[in-house]
Amino acid sequence: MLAEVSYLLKLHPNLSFGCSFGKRRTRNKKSSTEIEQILQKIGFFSAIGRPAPTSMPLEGVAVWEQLSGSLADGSLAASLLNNLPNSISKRSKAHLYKGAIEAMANSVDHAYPVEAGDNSNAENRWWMLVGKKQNSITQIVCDLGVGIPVTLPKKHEEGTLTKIFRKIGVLGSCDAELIHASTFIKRSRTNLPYRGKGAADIRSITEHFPSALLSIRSNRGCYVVAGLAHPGKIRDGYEEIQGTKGREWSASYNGSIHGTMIEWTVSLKDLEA
Amino acid sequence: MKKIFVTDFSEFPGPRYINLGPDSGELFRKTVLLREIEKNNGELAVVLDGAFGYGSSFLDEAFGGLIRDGVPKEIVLKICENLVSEEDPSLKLEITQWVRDAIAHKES
Repeated sequence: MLAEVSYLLKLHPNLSFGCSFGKRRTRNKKSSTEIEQILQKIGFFSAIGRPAPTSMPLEGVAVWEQLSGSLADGSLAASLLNNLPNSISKRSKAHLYKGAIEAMANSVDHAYPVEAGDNSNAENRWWMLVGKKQNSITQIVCDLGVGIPVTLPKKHEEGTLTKIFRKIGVLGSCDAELIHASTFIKRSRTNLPYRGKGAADIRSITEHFPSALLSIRSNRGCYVVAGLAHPGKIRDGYEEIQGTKGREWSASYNGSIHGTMIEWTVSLKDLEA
Repeated sequence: MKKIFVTDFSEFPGPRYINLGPDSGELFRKTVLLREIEKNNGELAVVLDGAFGYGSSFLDEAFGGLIRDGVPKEIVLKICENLVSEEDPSLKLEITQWVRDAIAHKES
């Protein structure tokens, strides 16, 4: 939402936004306050030029930090990761950094192709959020690009994709399957077989941190993979992928999110090891 | 043997290519590795410790890119052997694998 609003305001600086919580505010005041605090923390109210509602800090509310950029700048990723608790090991931060820099680079390099023309958001902008809630850390990198299902078939040889489709038992016929396939890309670009590898780094989060849950949403699909120590339960609406022993899921949406959002959540216990 | 500290280049190693962001693997290869290989006849010990972290793309472009740039494989493999990575020993294995992949691709 922040990404969309920021982009719209860049296109139309005179656009005016309002924000209201409607009836829910009276029904579940704690929930509304929590949402207000999160929106305030990530800079939503300042983005729309509205004063932030005044509310008392709530315990247990996720502490979110966010920033965005148009280059894959490691110092920015590090600045967010450095806000995480000191108990998190240097090696764990290095691994989160590895996933973040690759996700940022993917947004800059692939999400906004020149040929997309007017359909592209033109600026290679990414947004990154890092949040701590109780016993886990969540990291999100998103962009408003053309999406993995569009870029994947253009960037990779048909033969490479066919091999991956066979390996994971999909046809590559919907967005969720294409996203799933993209996490196995170790080499990319038709005539530059040494490019790529970023998606494998992102997927490796679940191998490095057994408690991790990785979700990749792009356009009309979502692919989710859990580490071996994750409880293996996720929200309704996801279908378990056959042969994954309850570790991987996918979902298809009627509408597109018009971009890509990569999110991983890891327990503090894993990160402190 | 000349010691090269990656942290003298950057504490925050970046993406693969220069056009994608600061402190890229391409920039490290071109402005540090290739020059030092030439000056020191390939006798380098690259110290990876101290940086915030490394994306695979940075490592592949910096070290695998040496093979693609025509540096003899014997020199690049020697550099791999002499890598110093006490904080994360797996980086040494990863870099060696990218270099071997680049050799295999070049020779195929």
